[in-house]
Amino acid sequence: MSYIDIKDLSFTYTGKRMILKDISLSVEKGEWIAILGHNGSGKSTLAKTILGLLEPASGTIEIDSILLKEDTTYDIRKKIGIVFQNPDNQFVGVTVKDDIAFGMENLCFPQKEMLEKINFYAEKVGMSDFLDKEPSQLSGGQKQRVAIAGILAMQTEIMIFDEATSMLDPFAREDLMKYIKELHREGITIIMITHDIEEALLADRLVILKDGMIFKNGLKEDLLAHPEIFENSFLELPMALRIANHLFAGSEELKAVKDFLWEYNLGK
Amino acid sequence: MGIQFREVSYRYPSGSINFYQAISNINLTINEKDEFIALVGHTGSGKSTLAQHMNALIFPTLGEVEIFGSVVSKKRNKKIKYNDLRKHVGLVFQFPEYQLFEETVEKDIMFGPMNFKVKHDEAEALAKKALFLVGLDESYLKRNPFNLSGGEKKRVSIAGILALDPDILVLDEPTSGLDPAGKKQLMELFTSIQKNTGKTIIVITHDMDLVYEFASRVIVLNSGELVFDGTPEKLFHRDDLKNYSLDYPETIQVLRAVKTHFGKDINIYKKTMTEAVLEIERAMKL
Amino acid sequence: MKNIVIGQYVPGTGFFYRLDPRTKIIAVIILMVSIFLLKTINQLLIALVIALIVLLAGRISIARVFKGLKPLFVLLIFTFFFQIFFNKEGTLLLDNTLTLSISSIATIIVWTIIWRLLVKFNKFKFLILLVYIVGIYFILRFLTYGYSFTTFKFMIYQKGLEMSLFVVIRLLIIITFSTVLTLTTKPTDLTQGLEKLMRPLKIVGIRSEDFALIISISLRFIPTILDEANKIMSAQASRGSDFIEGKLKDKVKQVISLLVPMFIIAFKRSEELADAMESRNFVPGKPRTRIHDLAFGGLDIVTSLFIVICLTASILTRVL
Repeated sequence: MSYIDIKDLSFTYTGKRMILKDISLSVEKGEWIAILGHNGSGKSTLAKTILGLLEPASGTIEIDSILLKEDTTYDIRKKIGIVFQNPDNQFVGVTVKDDIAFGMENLCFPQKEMLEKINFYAEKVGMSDFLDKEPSQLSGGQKQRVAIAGILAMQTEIMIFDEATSMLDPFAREDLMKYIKELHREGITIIMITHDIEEALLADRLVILKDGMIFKNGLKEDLLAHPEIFENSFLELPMALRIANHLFAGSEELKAVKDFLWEYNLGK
Repeated sequence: MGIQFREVSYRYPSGSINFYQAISNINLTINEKDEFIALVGHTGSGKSTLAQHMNALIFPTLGEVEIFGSVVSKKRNKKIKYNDLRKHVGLVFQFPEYQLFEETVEKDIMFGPMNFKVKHDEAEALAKKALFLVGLDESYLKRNPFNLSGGEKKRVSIAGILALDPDILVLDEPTSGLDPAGKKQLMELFTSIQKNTGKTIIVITHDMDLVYEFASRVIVLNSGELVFDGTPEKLFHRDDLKNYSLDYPETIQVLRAVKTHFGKDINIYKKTMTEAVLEIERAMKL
Repeated sequence: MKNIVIGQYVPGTGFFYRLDPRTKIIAVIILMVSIFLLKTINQLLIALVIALIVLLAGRISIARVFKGLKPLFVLLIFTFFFQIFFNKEGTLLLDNTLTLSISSIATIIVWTIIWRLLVKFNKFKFLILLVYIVGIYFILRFLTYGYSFTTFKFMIYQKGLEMSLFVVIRLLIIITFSTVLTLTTKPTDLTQGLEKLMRPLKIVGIRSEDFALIISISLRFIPTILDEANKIMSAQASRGSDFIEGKLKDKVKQVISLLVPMFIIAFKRSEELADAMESRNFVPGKPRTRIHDLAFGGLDIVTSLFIVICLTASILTRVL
């Protein structure tokens, strides 16, 4: 029995085109999986379905042994938090402090506890000096960090990042990935949806979606051994690995370079 | 002709919400033909502000910008029709959602020319031409812009500006949000437009690999100041890019790592993956 | 558009800042009622003096309040002149003949040019406007040379003058109250105050918490929406749509080119925001705890007493 169990999940908006087709996926506690796929492969739909924001056409979702149904949605949402793509469209509060508090207020945390948690989690994401700032005074990356703080404050153990970095510039992106790595170290189960392969390769396991179905699901190392998988999914490997894969296979020296490039890529 | 910046500075008005970043003491010449320029810099360095001076959407606080003969400075000059300048310098913003509004792609692209009093039939022809230029076919003309994919919307928004036939085309982060294949396709499109029509193209981007592969000239802004204006080759030969919050292209980074680790004589200045592969193979055989 | 400051809230100290927003809201309402109960200009002047003393005691900068009145100056002047011209009761104070003659027209043109030039280089626009108006009066009164097109009698009656002063001062006092309210109360506190005061409306089916949330989310997004509007206008201006040129038909299209993207972006935003709120366990109607609390203090009690006294005094002026 896995921590998150998705069985035969299908979803459609209109009944004509299946956005998700028979998706089956298990995630263990503390795992970091990356869900990769081209635009339109159904990635975000999957995320919203897990949170009960969309109702599947068929299939089941079980989180920590709780089956997702209409009357369990509230409890399941206590366990999972999601950071969406657009930093502005998920920032509810008038100030940073208010936004971090929003989820806790919904869960009726006592005031004293909320104020303590706000300070604690703001510190964790490096936003302690910004508690009274309004969102219009923050950058995209800062808003995403506030979103993370707000979710952690709800004591969630599973976090979904739905293309959370795609609207950020390269530096803000790197910065956010640092925080996600930290979360992983602390044992949070992470589902990261992205089309950026470099980010995806930070995860333990990769799930590649193609046209609404799972194309490949495996450990990072296993998938990287077969680069054609990525080409067939319209995904491009990082430069170091692409170079490694195209080096002439015959010579010993070039094999050493290839091994070096793999190490180099992992180290980044 | 073209565009000339002379000691241009811009400070956003006090009391306003900070839409625009400041720039200071910009001196710059842009030809109206044949250049493929990359405008780079960290977020907030003033790239968008600089771009909006090029078609007189923003007026400088100090200094002057000469755009195809018209001198734009702090004071509004009643003799200059600023709107006409946008026929010469076309600026495409980053998000197509801010621009697309008509029921059909055709009508949306026609909006630009018709604002300049172009007759309906002629505007239709211009719209068709612009659509082909961005690599979309006739079937797109009657489609609803809001039903298109992200990449298609981007192309339609570019077509909307190309329909005005500007001499200089400025694009603000046109490849953001696209996957690697899409990015390459778009940059190749710009190169072909540039070669076929002789226009000058200016692309604001964060992607150093694209800069290296496609641009003939790079302008670097850092905290509002112009700190570099030259070829990409020259830029990437410098060792102080970190000071400008810039990264090296991936090819250079990887080749440099291989060179350092193996101690071989590798030329790290290669623009594409294929060139890098060949260079490593060559160097390791010796 | 870029220079709008949300509300007029300016951080500060002084007892106005320490009052519960509910006290302030109710005080403004009751004081407005009290002012409307007064009938003579003398009563009004006493109220004005009291108001000024209270403002000074609360360390509110009169200059700031003045600034808040600026947009309404035109209204005040219009009201003033309206009363003067149309109220023909009481003793005749002033009886003049004003003539529109060639010399007066010529002088008015010159005088207007001087006014526009002065206004460009000077900060005291309002003062200059007043001087301009007085000048027009004197020109029309005394410059009667040359062919006269028309004459009219300009009469000011005592009642007219009194009424116009009365109405203007009353307006001034009322606007001052609301200006002080928004000056000293953060928009979020104001919203929360309104929310608590509107609780009784639950009987008619209006949930004040929902109402307050709508207001605070709207406030939070105003800068974002302004920013977007600006970007959309820039994008359309890049293709020749600058809202200045063109016939009416063109102008309509230009406005549409701004509104359609704004609405589409707004709808997308609503959907995404709703998803975000729901995923954080928001359920409309379900009770929520708050990090901010409103609490009455001694100061609120004192203020309430003062307000009650004012209201009583006003009622007494009518009764006695």
